[in-house]
Amino acid sequence: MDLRDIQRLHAQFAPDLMTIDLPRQIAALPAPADLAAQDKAPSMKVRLPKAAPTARQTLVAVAIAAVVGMAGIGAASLYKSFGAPSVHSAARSDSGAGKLAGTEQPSAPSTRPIDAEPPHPVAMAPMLTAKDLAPSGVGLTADQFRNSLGSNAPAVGATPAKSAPVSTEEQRAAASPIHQARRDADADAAQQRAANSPAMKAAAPAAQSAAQQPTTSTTTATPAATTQATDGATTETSTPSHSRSYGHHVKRARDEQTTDSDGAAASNKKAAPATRGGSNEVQMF
Amino acid sequence: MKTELNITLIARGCAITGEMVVDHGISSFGLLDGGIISTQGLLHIGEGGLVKGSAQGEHVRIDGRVDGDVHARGSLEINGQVSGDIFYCGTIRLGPRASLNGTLKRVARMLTIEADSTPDNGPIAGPRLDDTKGQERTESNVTEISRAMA
Repeated sequence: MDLRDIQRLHAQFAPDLMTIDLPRQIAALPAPADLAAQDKAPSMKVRLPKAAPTARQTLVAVAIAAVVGMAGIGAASLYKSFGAPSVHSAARSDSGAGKLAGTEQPSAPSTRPIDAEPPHPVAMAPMLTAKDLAPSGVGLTADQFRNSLGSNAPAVGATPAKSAPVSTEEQRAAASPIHQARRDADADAAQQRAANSPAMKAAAPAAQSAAQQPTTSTTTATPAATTQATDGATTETSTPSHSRSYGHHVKRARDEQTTDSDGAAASNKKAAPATRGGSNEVQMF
Repeated sequence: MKTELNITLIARGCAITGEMVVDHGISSFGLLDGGIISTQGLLHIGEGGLVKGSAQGEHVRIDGRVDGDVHARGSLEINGQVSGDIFYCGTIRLGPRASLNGTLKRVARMLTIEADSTPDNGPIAGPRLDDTKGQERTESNVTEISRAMA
């Protein structure tokens, strides 16, 4: 029994061999597949250099398009942020080329608060001074209160004594720098109206006469002065209310003061306190 | 993956003492003092070969002489002399020069070789076989043949 026989014998009982012989399998493949596989690589190698220039060109074109697009987007954003208002104003200017006021108007509101006009009346508004506050306070004094209550007996002696200062106060108020300043500040028309009004015309000489003759017959002078002053005050309150309303309160307070003084001067008159707003409170007692 | 035919050849004039285990086919023409186990392939005790011990293999062909038990998980061909019990799972072929001195038993197919097994499932275990030796001999054809020959 030689080796071949032994091998043949063992080969009979050898387990089933699972052979994966790749070289043989590949060799057993049909020829066209191999040829195609061999041809593909060179074809790709040949095609790549040919396709390179076109790819470059397309890449450059795409890059340029992208850059242009980005620039456009940026320009659009800038146009939106900055260009749009200018275009709006430009359109306005184009529409109304001759109207320069149209372009100036938008800028005017920014400078309007700084404009000289509104501060002018404010600066010229009547400013309270010691003169206004010191002789007769804002509220009622005890004597004024008594007078408003209508107690004639104690006021008889005091009335002539007080009437003179009151009239002088009114004269002072009429000729006070506040009034002057207000008159200066107010439009000339108001001053002219006040000057033209007959009440003021009558009041001014009366006040002057009262100032010149404070001691003489105050009983006769004071009613005229008070009536004139009230008329003037009413005219003053009525006329500026049309023109400007901001100074109304101040003037009204002053008028109230004058009416108080009038009430103190002419205690017998109930009409003046009755017309007052604050007099109602006093009458409640 | 290509599996080459791998065999071990114990040529004539070679003597090996001890247990021998191979995972492939083996052909022994020499003297082996000990057991031999071949896990895969053909266990071939060639003509003139002698094994003093048990022989286990997938496919077993005995043309020489085995003084011990023989275990075959697959096919078994005996054309020699076996002094021991024979356990086989698949087919058995006895040649014209087959001489069996022992019991012959077909067992369930064993996928693995177990060193220690139960009598029913583990015919590999040698010591257990001795206990049932008497009963099986009465039923074994081999014994009858040996008796007839005697």
